[in-house]
Amino acid sequence: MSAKVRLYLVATLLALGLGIALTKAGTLQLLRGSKLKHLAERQYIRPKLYGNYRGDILDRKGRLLASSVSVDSVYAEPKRINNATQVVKSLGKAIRLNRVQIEKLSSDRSFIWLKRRIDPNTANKVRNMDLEGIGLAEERQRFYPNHGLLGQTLGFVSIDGQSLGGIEQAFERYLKPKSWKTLALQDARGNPIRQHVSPPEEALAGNDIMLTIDRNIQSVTEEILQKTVKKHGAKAGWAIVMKPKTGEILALANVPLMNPNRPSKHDQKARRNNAISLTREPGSTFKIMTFAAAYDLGLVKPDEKIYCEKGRWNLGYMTIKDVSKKEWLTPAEIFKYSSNVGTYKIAERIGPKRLYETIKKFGFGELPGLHLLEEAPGFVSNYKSWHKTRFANMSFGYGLMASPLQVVMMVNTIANDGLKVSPAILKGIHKHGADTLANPLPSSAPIQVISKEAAQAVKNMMLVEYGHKGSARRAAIPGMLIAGKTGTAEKLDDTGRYNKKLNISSFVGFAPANNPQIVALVSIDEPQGIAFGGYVAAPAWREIVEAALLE
Amino acid sequence: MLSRMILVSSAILILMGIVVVYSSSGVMAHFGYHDSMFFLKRQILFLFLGGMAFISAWILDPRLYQKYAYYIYGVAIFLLLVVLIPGVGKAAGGASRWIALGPFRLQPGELFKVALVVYLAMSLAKKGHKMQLFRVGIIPHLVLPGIAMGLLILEPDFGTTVIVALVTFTMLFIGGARVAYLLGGILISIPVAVHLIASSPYRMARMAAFLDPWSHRQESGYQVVQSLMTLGSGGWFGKGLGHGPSKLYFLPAAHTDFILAVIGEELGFLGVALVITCFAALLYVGFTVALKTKDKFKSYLAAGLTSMLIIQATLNFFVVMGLVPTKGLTLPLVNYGGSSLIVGCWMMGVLFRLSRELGR
Repeated sequence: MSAKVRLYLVATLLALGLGIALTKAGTLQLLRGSKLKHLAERQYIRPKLYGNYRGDILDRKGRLLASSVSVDSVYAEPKRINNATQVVKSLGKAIRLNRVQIEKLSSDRSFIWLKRRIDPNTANKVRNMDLEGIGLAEERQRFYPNHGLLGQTLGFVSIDGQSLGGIEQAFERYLKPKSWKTLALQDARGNPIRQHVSPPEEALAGNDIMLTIDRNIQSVTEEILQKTVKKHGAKAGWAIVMKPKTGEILALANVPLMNPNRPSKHDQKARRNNAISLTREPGSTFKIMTFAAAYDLGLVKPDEKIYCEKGRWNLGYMTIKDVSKKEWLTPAEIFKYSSNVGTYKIAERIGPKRLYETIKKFGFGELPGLHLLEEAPGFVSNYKSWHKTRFANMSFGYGLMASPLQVVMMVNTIANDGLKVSPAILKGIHKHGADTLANPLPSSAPIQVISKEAAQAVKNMMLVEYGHKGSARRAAIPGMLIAGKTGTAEKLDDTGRYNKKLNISSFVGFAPANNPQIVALVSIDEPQGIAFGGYVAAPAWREIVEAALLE
Repeated sequence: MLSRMILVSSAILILMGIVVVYSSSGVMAHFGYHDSMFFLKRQILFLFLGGMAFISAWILDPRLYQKYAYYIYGVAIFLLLVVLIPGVGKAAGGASRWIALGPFRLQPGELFKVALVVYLAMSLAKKGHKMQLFRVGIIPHLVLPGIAMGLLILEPDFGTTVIVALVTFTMLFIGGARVAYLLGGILISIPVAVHLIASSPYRMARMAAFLDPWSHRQESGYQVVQSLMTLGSGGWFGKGLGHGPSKLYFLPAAHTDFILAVIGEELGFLGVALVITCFAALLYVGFTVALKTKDKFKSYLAAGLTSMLIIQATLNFFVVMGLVPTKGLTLPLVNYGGSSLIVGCWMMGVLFRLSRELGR
């Protein structure tokens, strides 16, 4: 082998090596490039979440019901702490640390919370210590400036931002802050190097939502309820105040109040929104349905007389009893004296099928449509399964389950001359700080469920004139004609029997009767002593409606 | 023409090196030395010294190296001994490869490599046809480099040891040693290399990382995986100078041994191809000079220096691309490091001188 050949051979081999390197570079950069790039970027770029401002909840006039305030929380990065003993000693002057936390401070963890949501004073103390590895993080805390006002309806937000119940949870998709992924470049040690500009907080804040609630009416309603519950030694009370034409809820009160700022202080029962979730047998208020069906079908005449069996009618399979022992009564008198006998006699003319159809048309057994998770649909069994007793009971409000909201909606349809609207609690949604409204919730078109004439006939029966006698007289407002119905429903006790001592006393009605502006329901749960709705609930109803009419 | 190719190729490599050294070391220098231009400034200073080395190599008659080859080799060996003296040799990462000279560090391994080429070129030229004989062609040329390799292993500097071995074999082959003897030598060295790897836990870890870097990506394979991701991120045109995030402590030795990955990341495949092309040009020039030079010593010197340059560059590429296990190997002319750059410039100066002599 000549020297030249040897040189050529070596040069060729070396060139081959460079060729291999070039090929490999091409493979890595051009063929596997995007895969490797993706893998690399996963470590450089971490999505960072900005925007922690949950939208406000406002009343119909823009007054705050729920807001978010910033608070500081103390955290530690134990990895960066050199002298844990010194840090514990210093920190101890401001916040109390437990044994576990002190142990963790000496570990090599990268992050631990020391104390969430501290007051501004403590925050300043910690800030001034300027300890290496100890930091303050700004967090948002949900704040309800009116304390217990509308508490059960608003729901609350947990310490980790989880919405629990009520408006907070039902409208989470609007309220929650927008997540914002930014390319936060970080080095291998996790230090941020460069952050892309984040949009202003307003752009990332959740949407504000405006409720149909009027804070003043809500407040008055709650006060009156509290007063009434106290006066009668009752367990609880609830009330709904509504605008008849739009179905907008002005007040949705549950007493005792629940303060969503401190949800842990209230048990599960106190957090319940009874006004929309508690289903009970509605009792004599429900007679409105029987009369509505009868008038709509033209089965009764206002001036006819119906024999009421002196308040006791033995049908063989059951005995229907009345409180007032009357003989011949007009439909209006049957309604006024709340005669079960008379009501059933009218129901017999209607028959189960047509009564059932009317009940369903009024929305019983279905969700009213507030879009709140607590809403209850109640229960109405199909008429085909009704035996005679069930049918009789049904005609005067037993044997079915309905929520207070459903009862209000029934009366609302009467107030609207038979036009059924959907109830509403959400008035609008708008960008945080802006004032343009847009309601994205589907609202079903109003439906005429009974004829106008039938509705007016029922309305006429419900009229309560000031100064007149009758069970509803305490609801009467001076100088104004109102329409309403008392209700005194017996509750089932623990043994499963109707207990005359356990009642829900209620009054539901609207005012003024000829041009309804306000529909309202007031229920008092288990009042002591006299439990008649006209005695317990009617005065509270009058006070609430008077206040609402003024607003 | 040849001399111009040397100037252009080495200038491209050196300038690209300086720019990328700045890009890849800036952040680290800013936090480590409170001066983002710490490494840049030093590299520019080294380039100045390198320029002087280039000019002296251009002026000096290469026959001087031939004349003083033993002395040069002796000094280089001496420095390899000095670096082993505790206190004198600067340890970094478990190895003592540097001698502190004020604020600078001399890496005797870099000097030794060129001393070896000079010695071998001189010796091969002297022995001529007797190279065929085992006693003359092989034995002496294994003894002297063998001593050096032993010292390098003691540092330990496995990368330079491998380069020394490869350069020695290459030059013996060029010098006319029998292929059978060389193959025998390779066969003997394999168990030695295996023993060296197996006896050192970190070399074993590197071997495991080499075989399957992605499974060891959090430990021993970290550097390789980072290097592959960094290089791969560049695509055709790269992310642009200064825009690669790998230098944010992700890729260790970003401005030294792994600078090619950063070049690939910021300048793309085109940047890498340019680097490889420049080395290919130097390979062409070096061997053309070796072929055309009548003087045996000069021919061997040109071939030896070029071989060493290309072998080291290629091995560096292979390390960065995960084709061979990781070892401490610089990319001549390009990456940060005074000894490496100055010696590289001297080599370019010698090749430049030899290419100019052809024309006469």
